[in-house]
Formats: sequence, structure tokens, C-alpha cells
Amino acid sequence: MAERKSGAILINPKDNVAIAIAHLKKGEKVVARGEGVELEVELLDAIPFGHKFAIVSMAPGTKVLKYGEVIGETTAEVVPGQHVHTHNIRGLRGQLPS
Amino acid sequence: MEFKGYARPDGSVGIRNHLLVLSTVACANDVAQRIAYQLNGAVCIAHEHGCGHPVPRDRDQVRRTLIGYGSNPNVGACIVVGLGCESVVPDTIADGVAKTGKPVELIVIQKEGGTINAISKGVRVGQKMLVDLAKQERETHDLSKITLGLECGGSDTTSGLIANPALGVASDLLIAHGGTSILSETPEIVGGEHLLARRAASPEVAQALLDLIKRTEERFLSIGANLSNLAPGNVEGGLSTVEDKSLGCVLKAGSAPLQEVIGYACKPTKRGLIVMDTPGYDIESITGMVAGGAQIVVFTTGRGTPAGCPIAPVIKVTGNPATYRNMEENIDVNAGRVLEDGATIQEIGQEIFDLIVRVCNREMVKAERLGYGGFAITRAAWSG
Repeated sequence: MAERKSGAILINPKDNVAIAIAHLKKGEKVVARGEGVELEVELLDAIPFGHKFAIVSMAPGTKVLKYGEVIGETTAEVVPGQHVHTHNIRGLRGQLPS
Repeated sequence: MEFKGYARPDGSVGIRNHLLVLSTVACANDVAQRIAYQLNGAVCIAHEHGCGHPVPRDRDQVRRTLIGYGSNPNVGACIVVGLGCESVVPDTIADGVAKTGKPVELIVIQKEGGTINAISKGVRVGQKMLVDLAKQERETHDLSKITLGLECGGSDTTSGLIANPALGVASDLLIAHGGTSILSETPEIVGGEHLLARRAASPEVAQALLDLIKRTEERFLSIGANLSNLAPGNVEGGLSTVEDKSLGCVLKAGSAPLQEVIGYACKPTKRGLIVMDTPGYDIESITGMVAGGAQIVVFTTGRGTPAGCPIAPVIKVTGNPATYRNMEENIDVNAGRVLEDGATIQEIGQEIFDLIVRVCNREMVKAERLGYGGFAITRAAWSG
């Protein structure tokens, strides 16, 4: 079988978001590759190049991990394949009380 | 490993041999510019600072930056141009630069009796300096004489994914050869500081970094600024929070131990990896590192930037292949080949390091070829 083209990268195995390395379409099944990890996710949103999408379900207030480190927390329920960005996560550092 | 550069009397080594015409105050800018215009190849620094600094710390930061700029090893000779009554006293700048042993001339407009006399004297002394500079030849020096400024700006996701890790590889190689790398942009360390503190050379250095980050975070909050208010280009490029940006930014520093944390435009006292407290504004950050002695800068960008520095080569690297195609005339290294051609981060890092060495030897970067300058001093209220 031909190798499936990877459209996303999982930087660290601990991460709960993957990074699109192409402009990905809504409804597309995309393979996110990381070190020793490969998983297929069906996208619920269009994901622009360089943007993040969830690979697991996250309740509001869940720590979002990229590089295996905390980049913020979810402000809403997030399910796999959803775009993860400023509309549904917030930073925890240098953040004014909302 | 060796390169060919210009030996300075203070033991430092320049990779360029500029005649710098340095204004000490906005009131002297026009005279400084006219002097430089008349002298083939001279570089002029004109700026908005030098007087009206009611806060001594701010005045001292301007003074330190100007002295540091004139003292940079890439400057072979310096003409300091002042008005005469400003709070950043011109004599202190000329004396500060002269401590390096390089030729320095001071032109004070009020002492010379006006614009025409000041320009005339500046051009006359500058002519002689140009002749002397042209006689200097490059000699072989050890790479340990090189201080590299690490900069990123117009970041997007590819910065942390590709360009910054590749620059980290290059920085580690330079440090392995005894050189020094300066990581800058304090607000863009917030959220990634624990990774640097973990590899600090001593508990004191780790604490100095953590204290600086805490002060920076508190200062932003105290004025109602939100650190996660990223630039629109960062957000469009996929970065969501300050932590997201910072964790990518700190990768420029590779894996070397952190040796020292220094203030804006201060000179490192250690070799190896240094953190300098600079703002996230690229031009102010580069100015601070060059005033601290960096002879060369590598600048990673996701969105693309033409930025350069008047006295130091700035190598531009992007991890975004579309940005490289869009702004190839401004960007030296296409690290986006990791995404499109199967190049590895390690390979790109080695390529950046090899380019650093060639540029130290005289190869011109794209920002130099296009004549890009850029000079800005950060206000002390923004320094930690």
C-alpha cells in the first residue's frame, strides 16, 4: 500500500493538538504523524496551514499541550477534528482577568 | 574553526569594517546625516533619543546603547556628532567608544559654531578615517570571537516548528566552537522560561531569569496589557497564546546551558548562551544585541521581513516555504525545505552555521545587499 500523505504533525507524543502542514479541508480525513505515532482524524473545520486541531476530546478548562508543554487552556468543549485557536483556548500567562 | 576578520585594539574582532557616524541626539541628526552622505560607505545612526530623559535610567540606557553601538567590533572608526547641551552628554559617548582603542572623533555643533563648520570638520576627519580603514586587512581569528544575536519576528507556526529549532542547532554549533549566542525578546520567553532555567549554569542564573520573567509579566499586567495579545500576523499564522509563541521562540537557543542573564545593550561577561532583556519589537531587540557586541544576527521569520542592521549582517531564515517564495529577495535560507523536500532540521541548522561562517568571512547577506538598516532603542520603562 502506498504511504498515506501526512497533512499534519504531532510535535510531541503528549500533545492533544496537531499542526496542519497544508491547507486542510473540512470533512477531510487527515493523518497526523509524530515520533512513533500516527493517527487519523476527520476534520470538523477547515484548518489553515500552521493552525492547530484537536486530536482528543477536551472539556472546558483542559490544558492544551503543544511541544509537550502547556500553551493555554480550553474555554469551551473541544472535540477531535475541531480547529483549536484563539476562539476556544486562552493563554494562562500574562493574562488580564476577563 | 577560524574566520578572517578585522582585529580591534580591545581584542575583539570585526566581521565588517564600518565608519560609523553616530548622532547623540535628535538635534544633531541632520548634521550627522550630511557628514555620512559625503563619506563613501559611511553608516549613519540618526535617532529620536539623547535628550528629554527625565528618568535617569532611561538616559543611561540610551547612553549605554550608543556607546555599545560605537564599540561594536564591526565599527572600525567612529565620528560622534552631538549638539552640546543634551542630557546624553556627547563627550561621554565619544569617551565610552574610545575605550575600545579604535579611532573616535567628536564633533559638537555648538562648539564648532554651527551646522556648516560641524559638517565641514566631520567630513574632513572622516576622509582620513576612510583611508585608514581601507588599509586594514582581514586576519585569521578563532570562531570563539563571534557573538551571534538570535532574533525572531513575524513569527508563525513554522517558526517554532522548523526555523527556530534549526537556528538552535546552528547556535549550539557556534557555542561548541567557543562562541556566544544571545537569546533576546523577554516577553517571548514567558511560558518557556522553565526550559531555559532548567539548563542554567547555576541556581543564581536560573533565578535571575525567573525574576526577569516575573517582572516582565507583572509590568505588562500593571499597565493593562495582555501578553497573549499577539500581533495579527502571528494569529493568522496559527499562534494562539503567548505560551504557544514563547515555546517556539526559546528553541532558537538550542540546547546549550544558560550562562548569564544581562540587561538591554549590556555586554556579556561569559561565553556560551546568554539571555539579554530586550522587548519583542525586532528592531529594538537587534539594536540591543548589537550594542552588546553581537557582530552577526540570525533572524527567523514566518510571515517574512526585510529587516537588517546598519552595522551587522542579519541572516534571514524562514520555515514557511510560501513565505520564502513570496519574499525570496529578503530571505537567505529556506528552511521550509523540511516540509517540501524532506530536508532535516539538523541539515538546515548545519546550513545556517556554514552560512554564518561564510558571512563572517565577508559574504553579503540579502539585507546588506539591499542596504537595509534599522535602529531603535527601547525605553527603560519597558526593560526589566
